[in-house]
Amino acid sequence: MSQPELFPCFGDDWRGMGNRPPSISLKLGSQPLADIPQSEWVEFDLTKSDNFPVKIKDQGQFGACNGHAAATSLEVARWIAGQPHVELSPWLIYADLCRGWDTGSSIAEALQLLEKSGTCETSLVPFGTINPSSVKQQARNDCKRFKVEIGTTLLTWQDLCIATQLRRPFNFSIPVNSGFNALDANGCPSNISGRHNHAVMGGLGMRKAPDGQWLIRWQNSWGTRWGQNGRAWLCERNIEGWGFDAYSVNAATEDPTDKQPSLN
Amino acid sequence: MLKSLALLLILAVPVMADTGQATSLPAMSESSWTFTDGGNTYLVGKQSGSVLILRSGEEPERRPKPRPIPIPDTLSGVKWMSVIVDPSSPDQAAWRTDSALRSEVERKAINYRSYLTTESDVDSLGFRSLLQSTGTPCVIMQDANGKLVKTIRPTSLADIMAILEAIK
Repeated sequence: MSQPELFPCFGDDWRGMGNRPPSISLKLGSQPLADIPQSEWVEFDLTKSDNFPVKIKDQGQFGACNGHAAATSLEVARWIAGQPHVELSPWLIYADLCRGWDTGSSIAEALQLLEKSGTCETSLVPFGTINPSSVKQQARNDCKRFKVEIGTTLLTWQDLCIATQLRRPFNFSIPVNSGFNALDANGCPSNISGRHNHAVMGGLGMRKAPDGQWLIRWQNSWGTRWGQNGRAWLCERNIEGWGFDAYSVNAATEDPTDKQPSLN
Repeated sequence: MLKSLALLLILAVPVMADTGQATSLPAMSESSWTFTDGGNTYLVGKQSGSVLILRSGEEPERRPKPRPIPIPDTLSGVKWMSVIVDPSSPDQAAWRTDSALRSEVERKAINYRSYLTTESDVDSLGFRSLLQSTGTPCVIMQDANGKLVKTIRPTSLADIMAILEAIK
């Protein structure tokens, strides 16, 4: 069984990636994305909000990027919906996906799992747990509380921009290769076209660069020492390559244990 | 050339008025010559010689101001406020994360939620029929037990802020 790919990010400190194509062809989500012309796009940055609570995660040297991206998307979707912030476990998602073999996973499968089974509070599953049999029953019970509704499959750069304008967090793949750690003047990685071997979470904001191109705010799961305190901007060039995969998250479902009262 | 002609015509109007040759007919109400220059439109009355200038971006008719939505002076007993938005509207999407709105609900100790009309929670919370009768976007206010206090269809973020202000 192959080991997860590692990438040097802070001198001798390496980080895992772990994105792979889905084992079956998936077309997720049933709600088409609205067509919003570029003339109506506006700049914003959710991470600048005083009350934005979502922290940067760190997957260490595990190929758990999809567990981390999925948990982060759900945290962001919960904040957009006005739900109280809870730090969610990426490890429960990854453990159930990889079944003890640290060989990575796909974006679609991670989101499907999050829609069907959910995840739990981060404190209930220790860092680095990849064996699903190690997950305690308390964590299994808790995961009923935190689920997503998948929005739609995002196929193009335009789709990523529109999803961002509609405040839909999304998970997407990106090629990590030479120059990925070096951010350019716009705050975008200097990676080159290649295999989409890493999954991250995006849709946190947009701005127009001085040269007129639009950029999207996203966050990595390599800790706060990477990029701009763990985050960066994304330009269209950053997602060139093969194996592009992206899905938006429509919503975070209400936590049944802390649900607002039904109308009566 | 056109600028010179326009200047000439504009200057000509008071001269003609002074000599009693011009009438007070508005240029638009009579047959007129029309030309544009520098982004402005000039209408010159063929009979009166009077000139009407429509400056660039100016509209001859004023649009009626949108009527403010009826918001009660006071809303009491509100513990939950749900804002339901059109999933294809970026403007309404922006309301969901507006800092001022978030700060105000926090200050007033109101539980705030925001949903897309397409979400399953809209059904499970029993909002669907109310949403259909109110229209989108929709603000639903409930008391601590879920009883409906008021539902309002806002037209802007300012309306939602006004609703918040009315909550005591």
